[in-house]
Amino acid sequence: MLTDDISRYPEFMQTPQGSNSLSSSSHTGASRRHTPKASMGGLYQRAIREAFVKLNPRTEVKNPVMFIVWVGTIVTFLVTLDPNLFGTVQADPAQQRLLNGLITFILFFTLVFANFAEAVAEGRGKAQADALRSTRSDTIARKLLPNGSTQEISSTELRRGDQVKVVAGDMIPADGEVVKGVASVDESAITGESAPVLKQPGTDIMSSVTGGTRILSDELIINVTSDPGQGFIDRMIALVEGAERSKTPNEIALTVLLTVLTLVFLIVVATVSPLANYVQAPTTIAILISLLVALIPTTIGGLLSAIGIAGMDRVAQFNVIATSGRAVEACGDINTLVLDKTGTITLGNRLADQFIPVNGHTVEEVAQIALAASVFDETPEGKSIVILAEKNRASVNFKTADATGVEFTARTRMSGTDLPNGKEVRKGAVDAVKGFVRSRGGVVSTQLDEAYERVSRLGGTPLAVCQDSEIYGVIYLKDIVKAGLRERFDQLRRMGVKTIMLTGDNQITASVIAREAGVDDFIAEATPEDKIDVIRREQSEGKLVAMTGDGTNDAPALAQANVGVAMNSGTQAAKEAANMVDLDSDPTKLIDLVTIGKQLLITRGALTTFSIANDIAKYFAIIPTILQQQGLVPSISCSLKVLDRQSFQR
Amino acid sequence: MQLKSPRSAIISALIYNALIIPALIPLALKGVQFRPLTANQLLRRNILIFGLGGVIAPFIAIKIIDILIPFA
Repeated sequence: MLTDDISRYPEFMQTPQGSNSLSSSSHTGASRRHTPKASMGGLYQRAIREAFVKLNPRTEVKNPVMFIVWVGTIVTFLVTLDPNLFGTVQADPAQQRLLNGLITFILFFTLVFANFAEAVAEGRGKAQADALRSTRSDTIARKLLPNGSTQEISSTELRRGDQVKVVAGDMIPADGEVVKGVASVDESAITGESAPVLKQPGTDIMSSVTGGTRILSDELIINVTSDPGQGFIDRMIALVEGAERSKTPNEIALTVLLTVLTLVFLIVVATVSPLANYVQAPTTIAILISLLVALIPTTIGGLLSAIGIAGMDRVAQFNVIATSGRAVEACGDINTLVLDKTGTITLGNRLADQFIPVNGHTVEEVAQIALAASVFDETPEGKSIVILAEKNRASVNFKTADATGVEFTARTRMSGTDLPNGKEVRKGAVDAVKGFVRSRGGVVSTQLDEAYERVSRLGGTPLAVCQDSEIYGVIYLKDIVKAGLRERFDQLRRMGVKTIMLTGDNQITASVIAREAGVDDFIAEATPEDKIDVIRREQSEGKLVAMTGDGTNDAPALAQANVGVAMNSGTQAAKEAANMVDLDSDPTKLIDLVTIGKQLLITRGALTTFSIANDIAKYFAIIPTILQQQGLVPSISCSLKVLDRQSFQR
Repeated sequence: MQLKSPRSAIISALIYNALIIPALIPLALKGVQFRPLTANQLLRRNILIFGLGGVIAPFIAIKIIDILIPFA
């Protein structure tokens, strides 16, 4: 996992021991996070123009509620021209014309406002898309021909399966997989991360490249994996622009509901006319249309698509590509999150937490030896040991220039330092250190085993520290749970979302981390296959499951999950199986996606509630006045009494 | 509601109906404020704010528009 991902989000920054080893990339924190900033200049002018263009009936008919308003506007316009078009009206024609004209005018603007809402939402998406598009212009690609020579062609002519050669300074012409070469690539155009990324073939994570990024050093041979216009950036552009926007199942369901409601009111209003005639308060077609428009849920009808587009836009701003609006919405319905421990719940590295002295040594002595053994250790673990030692008032009491570092190897499983005074300090796996001490003629006490067991039970990794034949103690390396996660899991639980942690650790370690992070459930000693089993099990209980993954062996699970978020650093297979790709490769973002999805659903629900509640008030404002026209009948109840009496007499 | 006249009532209701759309655009684009509540709490809260608010707001707004428009 990418460990420096964590520092991108200030809320996940570890303050105590982790700060030093993680701060290397944190200076980019302020400027990154979102894709190239979209320019919003001229957005409203364009939206106003669009609002009028959208008055085209072929556009309006897609929204049944607003289409009724559209038809109503035409009819009121006609009766403005000739008030007696649909039957003679008793009132003064000049006054009728004025009233009808006014109604037409207001209805027209109701349509324009609704279109404007949609146009603003689309305009924001387009601005985002333009910003993205500016990062990828047509480039000249060196296509590799079968005879080994290269041919310069435009990147738009590349096809899936072609091989291209890129050298330092080139723009990578298309999404692809590295087949040969090792090079560093600047992916800041899409991820905002300024530090270059190393690309090489064969490795699951590091072999995939994205079109529009720039190669900084050396050269690569890339196998193109997507046709032009089909790459990830293209898909994201199409989606935020709304070009490929199709209604989500929830939107369709709501549109059906609103249409039925509109039809019901259409019938209700149609029956008002004979009723009004019966009570001798005849009404005009313009008034009836006004009543209809006031009663049908125009507010939500006008804002529905804007809400959906805004939701997509919010996801894009989070630097996540969703392949469909459906995926964004599904995020809001998620019941279970399946999370990997490493990189998602904990920082990628274990950090030193405590020194446990043995053989009668003090904590200060252990700190001193641990520091001496770690001065040349550049790993995050090593750096965290230095920080913890310095906190325990240890200091380097020899010239580092005269000392030699002993690097960790898989065979020795130890690292350390040969001091200027000839002493050897080492730290490493407890077994390895035991062996080292014995080879120097020392003895191993049972205290060491006790400390070893204690650390294991706490869910940590023990490292033994020694100087020559003397063991000083054990360093407790702890898995650090990302800051703030516990609170977020609590929030999720309150919202009814269950979290399941998957880890390769043993049962004891897993349970300790699970308790510390506050996840609801965990699966220890998990294999990639377990992931898909967990997802199937949850789904069989009728739950919707979200997960993240990056490896090829995650692909089946990503496809099985209702929301599968692949990391951009992941393999092509994983990205194709997922329905979302996170350009920043930060698995913790899955939690934010759930929030965005829920917010989208809640916003839609809230505005629907508001819109329908509004209708009640509008009904009471209009109905009595229609029946009171010309002061003939005070209210509807009176007319009902008339009806009652009649049926009684019969 | 004791509006000025039937015509004024209809015009006011329609004006409210039209203006409420642009008024709600910011909310539609930004999304309602997100609170980590259970589904039931959320339902109760939203019914209270948007349901009850949705019934009351137009009465007040229509009355105000009715007073403002120079229409008998």
